[in-house]
Amino acid sequence: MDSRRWTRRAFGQAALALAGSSLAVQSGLSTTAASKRLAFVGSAPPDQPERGSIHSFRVVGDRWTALATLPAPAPAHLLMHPTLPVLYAVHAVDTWDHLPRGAVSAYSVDRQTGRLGLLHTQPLSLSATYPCHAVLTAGASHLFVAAVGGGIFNLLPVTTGGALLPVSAIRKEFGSEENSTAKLSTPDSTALLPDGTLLAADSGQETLTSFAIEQDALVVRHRTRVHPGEGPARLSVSPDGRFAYTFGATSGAVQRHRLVDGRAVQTAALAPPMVDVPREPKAHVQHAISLLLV
Amino acid sequence: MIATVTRDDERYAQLHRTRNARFPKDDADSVARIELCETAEDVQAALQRAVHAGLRPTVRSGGHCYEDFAVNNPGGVLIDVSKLNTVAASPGGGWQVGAGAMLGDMYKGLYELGGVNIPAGSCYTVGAGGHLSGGGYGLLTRQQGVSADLLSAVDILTVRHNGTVQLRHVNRHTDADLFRALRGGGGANFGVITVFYFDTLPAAPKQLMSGGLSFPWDTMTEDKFIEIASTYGHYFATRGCEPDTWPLFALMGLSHKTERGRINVSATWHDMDGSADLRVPTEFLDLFLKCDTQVAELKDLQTSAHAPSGGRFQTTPCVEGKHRWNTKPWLQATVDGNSGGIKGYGSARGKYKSCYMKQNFTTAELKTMYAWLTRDIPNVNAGCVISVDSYGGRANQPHLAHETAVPQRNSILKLQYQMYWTNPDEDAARLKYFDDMYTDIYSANVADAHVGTPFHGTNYEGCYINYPDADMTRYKFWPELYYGTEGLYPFLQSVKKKYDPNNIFHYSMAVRA
Ligand SMILES: Cc1cc2nc3c(=O)[nH]c(=O)nc-3n(C[C@H](O)[C@H](O)[C@H](O)COP(=O)(O)OP(=O)(O)OC[C@H]3O[C@@H](n4cnc5c(N)ncnc54)[C@H](O)[C@@H]3O)c2cc1C
Repeated sequence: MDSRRWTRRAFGQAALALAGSSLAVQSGLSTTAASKRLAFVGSAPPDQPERGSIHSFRVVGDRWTALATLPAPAPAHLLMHPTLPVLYAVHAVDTWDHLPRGAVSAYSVDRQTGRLGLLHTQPLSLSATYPCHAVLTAGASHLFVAAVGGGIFNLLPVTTGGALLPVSAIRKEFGSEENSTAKLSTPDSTALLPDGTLLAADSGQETLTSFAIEQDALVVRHRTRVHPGEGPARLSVSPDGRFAYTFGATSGAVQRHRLVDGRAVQTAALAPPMVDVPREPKAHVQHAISLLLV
Repeated sequence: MIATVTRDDERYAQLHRTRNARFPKDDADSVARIELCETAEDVQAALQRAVHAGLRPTVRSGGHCYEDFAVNNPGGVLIDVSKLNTVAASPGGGWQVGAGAMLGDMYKGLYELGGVNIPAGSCYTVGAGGHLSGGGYGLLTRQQGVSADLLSAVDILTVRHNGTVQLRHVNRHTDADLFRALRGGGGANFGVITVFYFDTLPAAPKQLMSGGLSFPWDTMTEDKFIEIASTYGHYFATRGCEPDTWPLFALMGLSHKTERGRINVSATWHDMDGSADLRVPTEFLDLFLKCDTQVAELKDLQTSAHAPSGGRFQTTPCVEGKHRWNTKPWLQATVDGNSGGIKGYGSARGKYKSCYMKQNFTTAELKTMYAWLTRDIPNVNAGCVISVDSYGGRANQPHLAHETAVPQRNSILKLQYQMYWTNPDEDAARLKYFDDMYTDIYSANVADAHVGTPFHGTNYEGCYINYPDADMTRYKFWPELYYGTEGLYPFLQSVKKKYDPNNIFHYSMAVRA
């Protein structure tokens, strides 16, 4: 176990340096750090993502003390059940049990020691490779996962005890073609709006799409083309659900989209290009670094 | 017109399944609907509808896939092209075969149209769609080549980056890379095939003569087993390489030991010119007289996929130079029996594995086979057979390894491991036995890195993609087992990226780009 002490600032910098563009990491820090005491960091060697780990830290003020480490393949995204001591990790791999797909795991969290215990892992659907983001739906009834490699969304029912059930719905996307530029679907981020709508950014398709869940199936509600010519990446939503923020996938320019009924209706440029965003879908996830403060 | 069959339709119970009763594994793996298409336009519309709805399409022609590639598609769409079964003369010359045609109908149709033949498989109900795109071989392969070798063009529906379905007519000049990939690269990797075209085809034989020998398990010993199998292998490693023997197709069924069970060796002679000259197959069968034989009169003429297990046996001893031959006109012999299971919706559970062999068996290999074939599976009645088909001849034209997606061009035998049962409770025990047997057999003549598989080397030339075995995916090198080590798989990956960039067509052993 690493006994180094991490400061929030030092970790934030490391995360940004490694992950390239990380709007989600920053907003996670600012909204949850103050009041909570545990932090989880997922990381993996870029050349051997399957040998990744999730590290637990105790956070006291600015001090981070390493508590425990658990092996976890390419933990590209971490999220916590809203009411139960269950952590979910999205494994950004291209093969699981020898088949072309990623996986998600549920872990029990010991709030006293910070130790994680693997509860179980659910493979994703075929072709759902390099999943890199997920959200829990309203009431934590489902886990909604975006896989950049295969351009696929998966929905997994979650039991009242927080267990993940096998994939119940699959949505296979396609890319876009314009002016001799052809791109693949790369849904790299998702969000839950306060009204229960699921939102996803897909830079290859150049869309923001809102989904509803009907009888365990994923139904597209609205699809809006944003950031024409480059597409949106790294979606983040304001707490009141009125605005979505995205990076332009190639320019790194930040844009704000006003949301009405889950549909992006008006887009405004907020900031000039800030970061280099990786173009290859794999590059989005190859560092598999993630951070969660609870 | 498309007929859509959904879960609330009473036809669904049968139509969502495949010939192998193991698949789909359960309800959760099953498709949401089946689109029964009649025309290429129907297929295009059904495919477009699936892609736009974000649903995964899978494809079925004859439904004879050994694994669950087409019917394991949770909530997806199964596009059934079995009604695209026209076998006709092509307007521009040559012949065309609809992807949904069953092989039996294909033989009959081509014979009626021009007395010609495609050297394809022996089972009547196998579909052209999966069979021809995965290579396709049969009794006439030594004489006429692999089916995909003869292919001139293909109509295929692919899906562009933006999700639009596109009909392509591909051949040596147009989309030549895709055309090569479709000549044996395996079904449903790149799109949905609607028609196969053949500019020229060889003439069908005049008649077929078949004879055989059998060796009872009751009196079998390890030495005798080794002698029989190595006699067979030696012939195809030596004399069987000479062109005058290529009309000979032979099959050796190394069955699991059972009471009254037998090991059969059959010889099928294709009489190409009507001369009824049986010297070659007689010479072949004579080789086994030293092995204490009985004569087998074999009813059906089939490749290993449906190895004869019984037949009627004579009690009189065999006499050198004299064997009982069963003679039939070629077409009758080929389409009689309607084998393979009606429409491909079967009740038998099956598991299959394969191996291309470049040399005769080694003694160590045969000892291991013997040990497994005489070993009991606790509480299970072993129903497995290692079928050893003759191979080589015109299949071994080296330049075709680079023009097609069939890299195996040095083999003399093609083995198919088959296991059949009906009780789902036996799945685990049978699959384990079968896997352990195969792993053990291919642990002898293989370099450390590839132990457990017939990896390309001195003895073996990998596996056959039309006999897919999902167990092989546990090896990182599984694509090389099927596609060789000479760059074919990277080529197929580049074709996949270009023509199916969204990976719309995927399954457990699809080309992974
Ligand atoms: C009883 C039996 C006997 C056999 N005998 C022989 C033999 O003698 N020689 C031999 O070489 N093989 C033989 N085989 C193996 C056979 O060639 C393969 O199983 C073949 O792939 C079956 O094709 P299908 O269309 O019947 O099956 P399907 O299950 O319909 O298809 C098999 C695969 O091809 C894909 N596919 C089907 N149609 C299309 C299409 N139109 N476009 C694109 N992809 C498509 C499917 O999605 C699936 O992945 C035999 C199999 C059986 C069960």
